[in-house]
Amino acid sequence: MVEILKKYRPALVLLLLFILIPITIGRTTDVHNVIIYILIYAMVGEAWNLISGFTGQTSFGHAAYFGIGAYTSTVLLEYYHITPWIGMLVGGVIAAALAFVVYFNMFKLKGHYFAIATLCVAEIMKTIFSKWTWVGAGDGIALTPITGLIPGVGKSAVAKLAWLSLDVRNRLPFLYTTLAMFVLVFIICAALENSRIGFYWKAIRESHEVAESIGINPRNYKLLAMCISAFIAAIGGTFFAQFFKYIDAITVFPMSVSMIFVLVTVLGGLGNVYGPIIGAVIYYSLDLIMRRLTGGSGSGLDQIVFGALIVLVTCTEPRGIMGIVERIQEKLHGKKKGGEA
Amino acid sequence: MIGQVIINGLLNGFVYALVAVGLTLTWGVMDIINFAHGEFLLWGMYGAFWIWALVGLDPLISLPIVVVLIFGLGVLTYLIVIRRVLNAQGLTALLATFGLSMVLKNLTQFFWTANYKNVTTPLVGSKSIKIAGLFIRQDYLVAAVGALLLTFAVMVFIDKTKTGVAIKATSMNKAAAQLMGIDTGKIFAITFGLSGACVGAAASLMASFTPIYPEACALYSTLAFVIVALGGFGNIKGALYAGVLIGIVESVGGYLIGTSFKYLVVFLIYLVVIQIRPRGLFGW
Repeated sequence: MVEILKKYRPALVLLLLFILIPITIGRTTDVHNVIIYILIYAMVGEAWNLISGFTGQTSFGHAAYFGIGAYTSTVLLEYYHITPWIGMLVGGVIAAALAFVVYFNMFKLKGHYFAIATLCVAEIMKTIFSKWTWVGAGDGIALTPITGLIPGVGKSAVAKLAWLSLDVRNRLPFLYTTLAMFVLVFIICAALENSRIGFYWKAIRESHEVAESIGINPRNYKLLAMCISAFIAAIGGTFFAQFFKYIDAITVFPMSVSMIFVLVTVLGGLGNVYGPIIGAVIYYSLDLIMRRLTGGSGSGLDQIVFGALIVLVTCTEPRGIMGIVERIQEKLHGKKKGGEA
Repeated sequence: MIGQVIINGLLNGFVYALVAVGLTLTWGVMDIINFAHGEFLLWGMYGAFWIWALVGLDPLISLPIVVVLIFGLGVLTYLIVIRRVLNAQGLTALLATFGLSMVLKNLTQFFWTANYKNVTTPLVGSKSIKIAGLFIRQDYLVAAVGALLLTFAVMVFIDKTKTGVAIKATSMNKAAAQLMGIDTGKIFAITFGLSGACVGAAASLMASFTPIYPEACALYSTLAFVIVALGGFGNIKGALYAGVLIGIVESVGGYLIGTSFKYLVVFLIYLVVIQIRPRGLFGW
């Protein structure tokens, strides 16, 4: 136990910061929003990292699962009054099932051919959901506040229902709920990384042929990674829908959303369990700072500076922010750790 | 009617092909996914627009100028950014081009706002001519023929010139090419420039009939990714055929099951074809 705590000391420090910042130095709605976005995108980033970071199969289409999660829980809540806690699991199962069916025969594709296939799947989802009248077609679905959803319930009952329905009346409880879910996802991903499955995944990433020759069936393990990844991404989608309170196909399914998951993870450190959260923190804190400095994003100046920063980071440290962190660690520890890197 | 639909798709397809040829060059030769490719196209369009607005030269006439400008943009991109991430692991290069695309796209918004810009007095108008019972818009026809000619020009350049052969050699085996005395750094710079030149030309051809705004090229770049993969990475002929195929599929699909579903058919086609040909239609 102590060993594990020691190993994940940085994670505990991060967790402490996430618990304390919202109630100390960051007590504004603005900061709370940013933290919630960080947690949601980092959650899906962790999911993306399983298939693309650990298993080495680049996906440009995780918005497909993200969107399915968002739509499933929303439809269940709005049309059938089923709590998103169940909705997110149903969404996860549907997303995983979709991944299973679509990618069952797709892992024979190598490299970019696979990446483009994932992009196509997400684009197909976007088209279907933007024309499907049952889910609001082009208008999307706006989530009704919980009081309006079930008429005639008392105030105290609403408070309970709010928890049950993940309704964001008060941002802080929602933030901590999202944080708890992220911690769970982080633990699952860290456990998977160090499990037998995780080693198989990495073996496949390093060499398909070698993995095969020692008796691993790459297709099955890639499929497993994709399905787990889809499940987690869908849960992230549910949290997004509950937070954003409005979804349509253009908000949850486009390529730009898929790219956010890629971006935060690669920025933080690909194939590193800390990558997505570090990347998301940096991405969205910078985003917030830029917006404050340049006063809104109307001119696009914030995006210009931001894009330039991404280019700068990639040009100076190809391993992402975690690469920079490792470099600093090496310097601090002197030559003791130098050999390992 | 179906003939009319096919000819419209065909005309579109040639322009798609030229954009895709540019993308497949960098992708095939350097194994770099250039997410800023669409933004090169965008800058080409703005270039054509401003030359028209300020000097009064029609986009079709200023084509060589725009081609040279975007060629320069490509070379600069390589020298400043791509060169440094070329040998980095994983998706670092992708991230760099993504950052670059953010910069390039938002610069257009910063300078020229998000409003639509149109070339209001194009040299070739939108009137249709009638050939064998089919109505063909003149400006589309000029763009398609121009795109086809330029695609052939790129092919001839790659196949017949010394630089072209060096590009081919580098794409097949970088180390061997270096041993043969090819300066691969220079070849990469030229390839990136050539890739830019292709979209610069495509931009000039489209500028007279396409509204120009920061998001104008998002669709073209997504389609270009699919076309490049469908044709086989690095395969110029593949990109041409796949571009035409996608153009026709888009048009016919839109006609048969509704315009709002036309891209659904395009993406489905890729998923189906790739099952049978896992390395693209013309991949080996």
